[in-house]
Amino acid sequence: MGSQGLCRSAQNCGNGATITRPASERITTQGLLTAPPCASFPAPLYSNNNHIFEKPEEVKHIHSLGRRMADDKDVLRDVWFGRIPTCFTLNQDEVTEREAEPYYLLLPRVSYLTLVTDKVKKHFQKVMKQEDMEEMWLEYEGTALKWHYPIGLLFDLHASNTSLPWSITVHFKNFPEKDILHCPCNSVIEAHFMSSIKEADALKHKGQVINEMQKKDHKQLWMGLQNDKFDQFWAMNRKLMEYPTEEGGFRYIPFRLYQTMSDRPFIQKLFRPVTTDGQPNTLGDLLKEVFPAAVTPDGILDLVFVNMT
Amino acid sequence: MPVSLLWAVDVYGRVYSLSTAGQYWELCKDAHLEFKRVTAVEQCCWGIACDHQIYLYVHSSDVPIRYQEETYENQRWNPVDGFCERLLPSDRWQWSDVTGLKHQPLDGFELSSEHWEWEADWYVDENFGGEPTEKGGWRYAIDFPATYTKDKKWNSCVRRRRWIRYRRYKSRDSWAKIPSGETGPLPDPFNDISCGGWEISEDPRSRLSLWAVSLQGKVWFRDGICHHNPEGTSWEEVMTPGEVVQISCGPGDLVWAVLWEGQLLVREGIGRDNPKGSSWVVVDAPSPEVGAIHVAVGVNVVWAVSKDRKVWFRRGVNSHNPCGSGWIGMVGEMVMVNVGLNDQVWAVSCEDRAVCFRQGVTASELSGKAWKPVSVPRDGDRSHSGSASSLASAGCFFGGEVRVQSQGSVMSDTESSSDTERSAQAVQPAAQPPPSEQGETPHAHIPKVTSDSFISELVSDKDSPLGPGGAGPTIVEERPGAGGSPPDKEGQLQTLVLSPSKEGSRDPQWSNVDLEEAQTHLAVASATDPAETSSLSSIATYNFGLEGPYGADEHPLWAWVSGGGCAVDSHSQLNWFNSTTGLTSSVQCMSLSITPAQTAAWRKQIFEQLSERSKREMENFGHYEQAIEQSVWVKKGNMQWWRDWKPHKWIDVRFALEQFSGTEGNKDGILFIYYTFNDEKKYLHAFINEVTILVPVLNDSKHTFAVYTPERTKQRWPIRLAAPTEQEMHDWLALLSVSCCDSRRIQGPPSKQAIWSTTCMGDVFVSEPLPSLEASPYPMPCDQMFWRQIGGHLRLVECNSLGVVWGIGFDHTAWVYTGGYGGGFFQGLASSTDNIHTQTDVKSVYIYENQRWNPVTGYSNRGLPTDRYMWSDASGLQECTKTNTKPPSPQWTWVSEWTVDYSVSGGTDREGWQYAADFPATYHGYKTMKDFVRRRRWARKCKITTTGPWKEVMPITLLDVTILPCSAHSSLDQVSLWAISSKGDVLCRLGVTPQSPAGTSWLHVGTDQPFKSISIGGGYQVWAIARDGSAFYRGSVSAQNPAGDCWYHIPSPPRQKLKQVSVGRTSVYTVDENGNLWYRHGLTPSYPQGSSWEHISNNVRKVSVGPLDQVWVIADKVQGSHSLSCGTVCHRVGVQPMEPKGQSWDYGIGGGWDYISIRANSQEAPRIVIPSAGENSAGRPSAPPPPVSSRSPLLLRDQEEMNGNAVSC
Repeated sequence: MGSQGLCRSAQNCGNGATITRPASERITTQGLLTAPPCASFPAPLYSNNNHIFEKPEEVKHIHSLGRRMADDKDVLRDVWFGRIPTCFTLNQDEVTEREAEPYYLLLPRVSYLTLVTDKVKKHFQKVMKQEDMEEMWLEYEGTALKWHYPIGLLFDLHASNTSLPWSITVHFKNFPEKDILHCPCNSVIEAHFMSSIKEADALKHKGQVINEMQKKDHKQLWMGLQNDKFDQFWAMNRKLMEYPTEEGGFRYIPFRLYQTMSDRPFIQKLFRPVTTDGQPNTLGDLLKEVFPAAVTPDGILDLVFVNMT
Repeated sequence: MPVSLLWAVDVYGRVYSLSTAGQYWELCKDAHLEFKRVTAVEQCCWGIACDHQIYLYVHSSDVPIRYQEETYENQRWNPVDGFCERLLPSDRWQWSDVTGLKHQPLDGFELSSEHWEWEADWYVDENFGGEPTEKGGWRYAIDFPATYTKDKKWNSCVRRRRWIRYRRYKSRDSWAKIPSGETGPLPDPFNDISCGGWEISEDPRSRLSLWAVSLQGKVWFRDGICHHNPEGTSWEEVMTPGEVVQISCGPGDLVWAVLWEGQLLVREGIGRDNPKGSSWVVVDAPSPEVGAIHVAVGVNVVWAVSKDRKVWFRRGVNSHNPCGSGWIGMVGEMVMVNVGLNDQVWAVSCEDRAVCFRQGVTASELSGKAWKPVSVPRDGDRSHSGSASSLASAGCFFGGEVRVQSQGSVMSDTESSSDTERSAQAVQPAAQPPPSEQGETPHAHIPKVTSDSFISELVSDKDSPLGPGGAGPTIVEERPGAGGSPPDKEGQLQTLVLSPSKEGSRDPQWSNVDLEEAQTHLAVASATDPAETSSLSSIATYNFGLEGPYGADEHPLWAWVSGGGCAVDSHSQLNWFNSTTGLTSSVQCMSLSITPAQTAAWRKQIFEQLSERSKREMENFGHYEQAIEQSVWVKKGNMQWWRDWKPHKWIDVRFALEQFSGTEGNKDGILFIYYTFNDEKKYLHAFINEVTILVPVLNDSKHTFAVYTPERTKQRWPIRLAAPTEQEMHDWLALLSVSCCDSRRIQGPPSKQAIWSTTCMGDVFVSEPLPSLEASPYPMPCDQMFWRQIGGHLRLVECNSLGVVWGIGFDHTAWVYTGGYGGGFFQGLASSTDNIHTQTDVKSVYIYENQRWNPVTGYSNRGLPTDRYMWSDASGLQECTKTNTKPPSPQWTWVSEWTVDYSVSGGTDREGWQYAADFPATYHGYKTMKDFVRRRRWARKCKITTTGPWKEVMPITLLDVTILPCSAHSSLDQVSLWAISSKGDVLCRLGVTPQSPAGTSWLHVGTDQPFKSISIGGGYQVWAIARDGSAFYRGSVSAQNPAGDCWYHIPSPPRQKLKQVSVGRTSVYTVDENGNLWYRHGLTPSYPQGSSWEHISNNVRKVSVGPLDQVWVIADKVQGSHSLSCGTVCHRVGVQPMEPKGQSWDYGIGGGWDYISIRANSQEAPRIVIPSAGENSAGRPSAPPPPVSSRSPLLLRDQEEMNGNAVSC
């Protein structure tokens, strides 16, 4: 499941921050698995023009609320329980025995398409012959949807400007071999998911935490995702999100910056939560370094919205 | 980590301190003098000034250092005059000490030095052993000396009364000269000084040892230094086999000295009764050809410097072998080394005179790894553009000195830059001494440092281009000033002028400056200089910028360093080393740059944006099918379970937690324990929503925890489980805890009304009160209360309904609640991210050494076959040797060695023994003919490091604390908070508000004796318990007068010594040392002290009275259906406004509870209560009204079963 966002600031960003540039080219950052890389210090998101901090009396009010209101658990829950209403329609060219009704589902943002679309497959099976059904694949406005991207990321990357529900076309023929990977069974998703977790932990803790876990712990992470069990997942994932207090953060922030209009599907670089002189890095700093084009002189004004994975 | 100071002296004799939290060397506040050496401990710093006198710098504190002087007035009765001052010739003095042997008239008392002042006049003590006396304070007896009573009897022939008066040490935060003119041989000028010895005895008086070496090589010991006598009383010479040049005294019993010839001396026989030690042992120098010149000792280490500046480490030093076994050469050349707290090592390097810290010194590797220079700028090196202008005004006042000082600076800087030249020219118009004299002026300060040989070397090196010509005469001129005889005006001025601390020299006591003269001086100067204002300000600016004899870029040159007061260890994070700008400083920066308010604002923003997104994306699509169907989730594991039936034993079980969504969408779960019984598979289960508490019971053998439900609480028989590892136990506890909280929909920090409690293990629990908890006549049974754990380790927690919560650790450290939750083993989700800090606590583990007397060998460790173990626990049932006794749990680590504990109740002899006729019996601290056995207690300290939502309140440690109980809606400018310091001082905290619960400072409230417990009621009634067991009421306390005006003495119940008090809205309850609970009768607004005590219950350990006068106690020996528990939370039911004493007890969670504070719960119960499901917490089955009336008072039963106390005390 990717990415609880980038920084805690970028817990704002779900499957990452989606940045709409004037040219309507889109970029989405994806934190590799799991939440606040910047540790317990939220990094300033709008570094230059953050009006919130200019009103002390307001801040005071917020502070007193802060204790009452919520802590990270609320944020994590909202991230986890993020759902995208989706309408699945069968491709016109598929051969059916009778007309196929569209199928509506709430897809969890943090999960993978092929993990949650068994029901879709079963639904369309009813109107199709077994021999006409090859491997199912999904498409949105001509783009084959990569199952190995988290659902929230796919939505933010390709469809964030459309009206809801998200309309996805279901195909059972002409698998686009060049664009997407096959997904014969859930164990492939699991392997992909675990490798992302491991990659993220390699960046965060040199892989020490994930390697110290037992097989059953790995299984618990996966089962938590597969069965949409927040507590089950987080009981284990919290270990991956911890760091010694004295170190002040992870070694590197696991993130990926996705772009639609580029040769490279995503940008990934080593990025530390704090600068060499000890200043906390912000999402803005990250973008400046990794993708300067997203940053205008006035700050990250093009940052239209940031949402969650 | 508490903030503490590293002290150092630079080569110019200026004293600086560096705070562990700071990044600048700060010039000592009261720096009129130049110093040769300093030796620091936590509370003070001693120094030898360049006048060879010893000075003491005591840090200021909110608690005064005060000493009670007392004297007795004696009278005898005669038939003519009645009681009068005419005594018999054989009688004692009319004014005497307590024994009557010493004549002590009131006017015979004098202040011991100029650093003391009287607090008030003499007054009569009207408290006699906890009982108030008649007016006049007389105690009567048949004759001197005899037993005194407070009542006059027919045969009372004599009487006496006690007069007391306090004196107060006033010279704090300043260098106070230790008077040298004492009786006995006057020590010649001092050359070296070393302070330590605070660990020799576990003494609340904080005794210190001060060793000094005179120029002639004699060693002196300063006697009688303790908390209330910081200066000590007198010097005592300690004979040495040779001439000593330097001495070092560690925190414990280690004292080493260096002989002129280069060998070293080790002091032996230092102990609790003999801090001076008894004899010297000579130890050879590290290398025979070059002797030692310097030595530094810690608790278990000795470092030395030889004449060739090499550094040596002494192998094998400990308190049994203070001499060690051999020298190891270390890398680096040093001028001196110093061993500070935790055996950390500080040094001044030979090459560049930098202060170095020895990195990597740990208990297992005492020699450390490498030298690391401390590179922080001095306070004055910072840019002073801002302060220069403000200084200009100060400069106006001290115009004369500023001017000449700048000249001196110009000239002493031999490589005067163009900048300095320009400034020098600017100075010239205003210059008082003509330019021709300038050559002499700078030299004036050189001789001032000649007192220390290497300093003068260094300085003269630096200044040699100036030529030696001018130096001679100025020495002559300088000496009288230092010697104290009045110098001529010019000399006076120069003395002042050349002191590096020009702006601090306002105190005439030190500098002898005639300010009027200086002003005249300035007037003259201004008369001659028309452009005076501008030039002056430029001078001032320039002068300040230059600051010292060396420029800002140059790093300071150090002569001496003392780390005896600097609490760092190898894990401490210090931002003193420029090379480590990495994460350490980043944390600093981050915490500086992002405030909690910003964090909260951020979080709120993020949360709002998320909610907005969820709304946008999901609001209209709620009818869509979920992609993933909800199912049951099970977590399983292997555990051991303490079997419910006899014979009780640990058996292996499978353990599972099944979680599912409840009917209303809330989470719920069931706990299963699968076991086999007679080859039959069986299971036991508990509903998560019925679990009331999870108690960790870490002990050294098993990782156990206890699970309670209301039923189990009634039985006093929890489900006890043991996880295979500590980690697994913590994982399970965290998971189960989250699960329990979810099922009850409890999340986030505890509410302001929450009930706090602690166990004897130091675990902190909190419960959310429901209004029905204090309902009448059918309150919610308190065994149904749900408790959740909060991180941290505390002995007690006090709270009020405005959310002000304070705790006190076992080591008496005060902590304030930060508003977070979690910490400890609650990590990730179960814990808030900010407001969680590291917390440490220290407690002692005790074992007993037992001996029996036999006619042949006397007392020996050969006991009778029936005797207890010769090394045992307090009961004698468990064998506890020094080697097999482990810290209480793996979370604890030893931080000291085993030492004899002398502070046992009943007293001990000089070796710590207590005697008795036989085991077990009552022990006494002296030997009689009938005593055949003896025992002594050994203590070893251990430390826990954990995390929790607590922040330390520095620096005073506390015994007790109380916070004004009030309604949750009251708006107070300041929340009254009173405390008792660990020395027994009564303190009132100022500046406490719900926004800043830590407050700002302490206000000391004087008492005639140490106090031990305090409580403030809703109407500002302050009650306290003194150490003698009597109660005191503080009069006239109000919001406007937070400290009140005087104490009213209230006798304790007959023959009982009170130990704790709690005051609610109007009720006052106390607990005495025998476990009795007392209610104070007859309290009225006009007579708030009340009239008498009424006995309410026995077996009570602690009481807490809330803002509604609700009464909760911790009681012992509560009988359940299965077992008996000690330390049980009990609730007084039937408490009504007209019936404040209540009717009976209701029993809550128990087995090892030690403290409860109900003082935040101000929720009034609804008037009429119809018990229904709605009143109980969500998802909880409704309970029938408890059979309150059938509850008996606290029951007594002698036998105890093992399971009763989950947390054993």
